[in-house]
Amino acid sequence: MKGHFHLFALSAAFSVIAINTGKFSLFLGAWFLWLVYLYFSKRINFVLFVSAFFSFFFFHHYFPAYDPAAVSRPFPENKTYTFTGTIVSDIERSEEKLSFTFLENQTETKLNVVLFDDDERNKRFPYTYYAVCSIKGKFLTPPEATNPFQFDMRRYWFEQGIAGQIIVESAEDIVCTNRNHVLGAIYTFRKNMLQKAKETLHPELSGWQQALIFGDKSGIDEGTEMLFQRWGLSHLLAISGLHVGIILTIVYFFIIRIFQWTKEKARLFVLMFLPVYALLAGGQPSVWRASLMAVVVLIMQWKKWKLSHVDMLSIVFLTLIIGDRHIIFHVGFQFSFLVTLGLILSHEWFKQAENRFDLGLKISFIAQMMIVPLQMHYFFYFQPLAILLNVFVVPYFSLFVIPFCFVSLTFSYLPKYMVTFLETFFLKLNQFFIDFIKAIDKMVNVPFVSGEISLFTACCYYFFLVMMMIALNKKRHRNALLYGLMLTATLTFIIVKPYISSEGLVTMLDIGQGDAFVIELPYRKGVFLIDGGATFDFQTFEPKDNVFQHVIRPYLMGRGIETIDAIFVTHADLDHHGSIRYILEHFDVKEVIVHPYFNLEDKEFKTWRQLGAKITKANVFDEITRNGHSFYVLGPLDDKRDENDNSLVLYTEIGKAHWLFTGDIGKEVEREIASLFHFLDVDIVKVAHHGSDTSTDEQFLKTFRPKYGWISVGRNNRYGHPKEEVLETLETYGVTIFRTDEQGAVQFIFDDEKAYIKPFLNQ
Amino acid sequence: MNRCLWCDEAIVNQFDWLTFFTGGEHQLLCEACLSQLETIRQPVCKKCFKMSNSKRCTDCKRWERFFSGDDPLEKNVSSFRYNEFLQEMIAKWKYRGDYVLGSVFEREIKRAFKFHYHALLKEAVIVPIPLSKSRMDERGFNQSEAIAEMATDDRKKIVQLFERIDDEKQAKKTRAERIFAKNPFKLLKTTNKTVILVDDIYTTGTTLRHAARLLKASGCPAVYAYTLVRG
Repeated sequence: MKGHFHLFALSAAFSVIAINTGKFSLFLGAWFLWLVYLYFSKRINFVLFVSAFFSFFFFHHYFPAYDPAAVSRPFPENKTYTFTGTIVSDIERSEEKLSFTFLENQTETKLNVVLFDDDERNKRFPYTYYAVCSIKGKFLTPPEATNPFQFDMRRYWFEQGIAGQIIVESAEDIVCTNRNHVLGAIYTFRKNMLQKAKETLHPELSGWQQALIFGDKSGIDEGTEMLFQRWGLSHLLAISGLHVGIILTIVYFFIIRIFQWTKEKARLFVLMFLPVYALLAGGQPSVWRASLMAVVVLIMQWKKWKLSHVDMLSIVFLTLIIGDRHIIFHVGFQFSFLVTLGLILSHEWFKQAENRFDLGLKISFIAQMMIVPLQMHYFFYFQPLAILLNVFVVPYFSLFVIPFCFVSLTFSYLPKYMVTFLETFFLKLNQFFIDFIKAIDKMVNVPFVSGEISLFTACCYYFFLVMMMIALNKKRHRNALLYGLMLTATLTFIIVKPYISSEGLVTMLDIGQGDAFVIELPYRKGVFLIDGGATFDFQTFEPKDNVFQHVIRPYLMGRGIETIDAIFVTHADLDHHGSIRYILEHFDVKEVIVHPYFNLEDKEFKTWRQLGAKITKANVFDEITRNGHSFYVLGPLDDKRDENDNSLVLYTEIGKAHWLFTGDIGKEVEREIASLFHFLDVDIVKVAHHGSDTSTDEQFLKTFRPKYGWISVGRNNRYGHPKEEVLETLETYGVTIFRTDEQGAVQFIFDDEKAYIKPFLNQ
Repeated sequence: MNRCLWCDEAIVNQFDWLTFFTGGEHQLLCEACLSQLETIRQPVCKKCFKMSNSKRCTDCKRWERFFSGDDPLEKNVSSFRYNEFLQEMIAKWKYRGDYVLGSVFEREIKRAFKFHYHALLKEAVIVPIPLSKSRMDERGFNQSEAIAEMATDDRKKIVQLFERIDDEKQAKKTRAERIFAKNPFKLLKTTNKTVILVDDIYTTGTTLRHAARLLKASGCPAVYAYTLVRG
């Protein structure tokens, strides 16, 4: 077994990739061939060969495989029940909600309990781990993704082993009896420590302390968090080996130098401290990886056992996945192990480093390169310059910020003037540093928007990376350069792919009640949007960014889109133009095209101006040609003195089909267009106004005879769209209907030979 | 468990990018002992492999003068530098009969032959420097033969051409005694093939040249040498 633990860790890793990609036989085959190679070159014996091979099957059954059809619903949805069970997690508190995991007694399933109640009471929520509760709330299964590249909440919960959610209205609906449990005590201790830090320290310092020592990021300014995320620095905000290492160094220093303990005693203390610390630090997988790794190292020193680093990492990996099979789906877990493995395997290369800077660069390079395909898979981009920035930021954090935050735990015992002095020093210096990163962010923020990465490309990437690293290890620099070039070529291929693809798409995104269409021409000759709606707050009428963040942005990034050639905004209603401001902020938009009667006082319009958008007014009968593609403006003919009727009506040919985008026009305007443009062929019509009965005129349908009608409409919307009579009318005229509320996003996919319509949800 | 042949500590295989996938070689020495073996690095004397900045070291120049420009030895290739650690290791191997310990050098010997004598070996034969009968009885094996056997898988390439008359241990002689000693070898057979002599240590190069002189005189076209250690 010794020297071979990694075989089982890899077997688990491969089987989970096989589960996620659905390529069972491919991975099993590769696994088998590799083991055969190891066996015949006498690296492993027959027992190892057989057990490693069959462990693949074991893990394949061990990890839960997501099947949307087979997701169990232990309770009917949307009904209020009283559930009884046990709290089995720490209580997570944020500004607007409180949540925890709950083991329900009857079904023995784990449920996520959420209490949306910004009342002071929930802050004082007195219950903790292992409390027995009766909870009155509504059962919900988490929503599934209905758009390409959208984060799939249902899958996420499933992979975390949670069967559903209980939404609780008021803190009074949760009645528990606390029971003693060591975990409960630790969690309570953590809560008190956090509370104490908040009370005694400057809020900014306490925010950093909470994040870097206790693994609670809620105190970090959101802008800073996003900044760190953009620049591949998030690993600093999640507690990992770096943090644990620094904290252990400080603890060791104190107990050996100051308290004069013996080394053996110190080791025993640290061994007991580590698991407790992992819990105090929020119990994220990266903390567990780092703490358990330290535990293994210490035990080995103690017992004088010898194990290779890869063995140690594998043992920690296997311990964690056997402890909780769901942890393997955790993004932080995957990143953490992949980076550590890369660093371990590169030790020979690190030895070749000429100086500290060189070493820092090498470490940063490996850490970033290891996760590129995963980063692309989850986030659709990566930041190449992050490698350089890390070289500066990591030492700053490890030498200053993290030790300072740890030492600041003692600040409540220091005199006030000293605390104020130290705090001011920290805040000034840290502000300077964050401003420095912000300045870099402004100057050279050039993320590499890759879109979704295919399994094949990811395999090529890792193959060339491994070959390059083998060559570098052996100082075969010419080979290393060759493989490095192949690696670069692979990455280049990822960006160039859309430009050499003959496939084009028209996508009706499912954004709920509202419109958002994305048109992508073949060979990426042009990317156009027609509308970008948002949901909005019914009191303030402010657009929310959730549609943008959860639907529009992931779709565009998933397709590797950074530049939008033009956005047509049909009219000034938030369900059609609420997300435009966010799109302008995050993407390179060349032009926004609106109808001629657009209200210049419209708040969104003003925001766009401030964001520097170039705005064009399109008049009826205009032919708008952008990137060689023409859109014909069929309306509005004149000012209808009604925003819906003033909608920009667009006619265009895409993928040999003729399209009519109608915005929210009413029946009268439809008739007007039908009589003016009766000679036009229409294959696909965007059904006006989400299927409202004020639109979809019979005369209009009779004139154009469209084959397909696309309806963008919210599930169970408050207007009752689409209306039954509209659907009947469409049916009478033989129009095949596609609708977002039932089918999710709808895509028209075409190339030179064929074209087809594909709804995201198959029903 | 795999233990170090020298210090008996458990050996831990630290994987790197290559060995993670190939499973790595079976290590005979632990990391610490391995690091004490000093391999010869460039620049070396092109003739005798002594680490030296000039292309021809002073030793070799002296030999040139000694043979008036007609040195019977074409070239020597060596793998390791002589140091205390290696001295002990070789002593344990050859004087105290730890035969298995020799396998520590196998990979390096194979590499050196492949790298330096690959082309030569198609025609040449390998000739180990013999031990005298009494030494052979004492030690039970000839270290030069052991090296030759590790160098090639083709046993037919290895031929015995000499017999040793002298009984004195080289290690106990001074430099002058060695160089001016009378030739300790007697040729048993002659050969018209190129010869690669094999010995464990090259100190002054006298032994090899005694053998080489006999070979050249009996019609051998060229004599090369491989020695595990360059003193």
